[in-house]
Amino acid sequence: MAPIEVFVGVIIFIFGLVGIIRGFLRELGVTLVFMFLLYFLSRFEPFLDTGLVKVMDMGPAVLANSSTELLKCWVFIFVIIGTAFVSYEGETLAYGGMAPRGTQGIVLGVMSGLLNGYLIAGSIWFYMDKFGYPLRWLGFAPDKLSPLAQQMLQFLPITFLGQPVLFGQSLLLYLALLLLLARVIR
Amino acid sequence: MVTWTVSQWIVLGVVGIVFGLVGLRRGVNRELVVAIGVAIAIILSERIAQAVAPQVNLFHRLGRFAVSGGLTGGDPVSGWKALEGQAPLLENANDIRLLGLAVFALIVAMAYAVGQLRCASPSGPMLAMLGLLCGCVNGFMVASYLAPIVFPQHTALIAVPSAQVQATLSSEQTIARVVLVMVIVLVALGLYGARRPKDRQFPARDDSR
Repeated sequence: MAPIEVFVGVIIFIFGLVGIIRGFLRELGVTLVFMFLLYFLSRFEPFLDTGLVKVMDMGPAVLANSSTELLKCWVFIFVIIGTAFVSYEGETLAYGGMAPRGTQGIVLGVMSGLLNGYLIAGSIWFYMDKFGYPLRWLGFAPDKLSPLAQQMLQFLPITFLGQPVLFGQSLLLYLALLLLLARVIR
Repeated sequence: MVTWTVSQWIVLGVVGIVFGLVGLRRGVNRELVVAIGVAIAIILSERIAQAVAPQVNLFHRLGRFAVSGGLTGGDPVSGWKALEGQAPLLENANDIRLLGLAVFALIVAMAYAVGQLRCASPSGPMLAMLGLLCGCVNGFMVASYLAPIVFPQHTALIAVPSAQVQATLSSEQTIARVVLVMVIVLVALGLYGARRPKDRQFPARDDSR
């Protein structure tokens, strides 16, 4: 299996190509959703974690699999992929107006696609790392991370954008509010 | 002699303010051209300097030969041999680095000129504010390139903690934040440019260029 940074890089690249096809304004709608989602996950993660543990403690009659870390990882990955699916399917979230054309349109489409790829793939990597890479069949493990991958961990979306910047709130919240404001006032 | 100790943040702040004010005045479209030019200059300037250094030395020697009389002088052969024995203009790595600095300044100046000639001045406060942000990013890139050259030692006459300046500029977190600012600028510019036709105010033609 390729190193995880290559795997994530390829996914981000693919999202960049998708961004060219879908266009800047539609991609920005997905960005808006993911900013809010990641803020919600980073802010309320301890509560979500506690809730999931309580559900899993209900006993083997409900949940056959005894690996709680694996299940928690799957829950977060499912939430992220599900949100991505819903966001990319919907049209309501697209920003209105005339999409930029020509080189500017392509550059903005690529940039917004790469940004969404970074938010989606980076968040999945974040949760896999948080729960100790429980998806061993993918070939990823904590002791197999290259120095580059270990360096990149600090730049994953929830880690990097989730740092508190003002009034104890993370950049995710302010970016989400800015995007929402731009969506509403246009 | 009085020694002033200046925080690295003041140095970086001054650079940011200067470039930011220039960007505010010129607007985001012109500053994006400069950003591309600075990026090209950072990548290519040292390579170009190394490639043209032999030609620079040759032309310098030819110039000195011409000044000393050239082919019409008393003994051109001896004159040329004497020049061959002298040290070239660009002798060591430091000289070539200075040539790279000159090439960098030339490319950046060209980027400023191209932006000034080809792009319109900002038609509203939004473009001016984005120009301010973009100008700060350009200042960061220029400072990142110049800091190791301007501050080769740890202290100067005005005691600047140059090691901290370089560490701050080259820190991965700083670079990531600058990239984030650039993404925000591009998104804002894209949204501003994607306004509906009825909402657009056509900018007045700028005949002052």
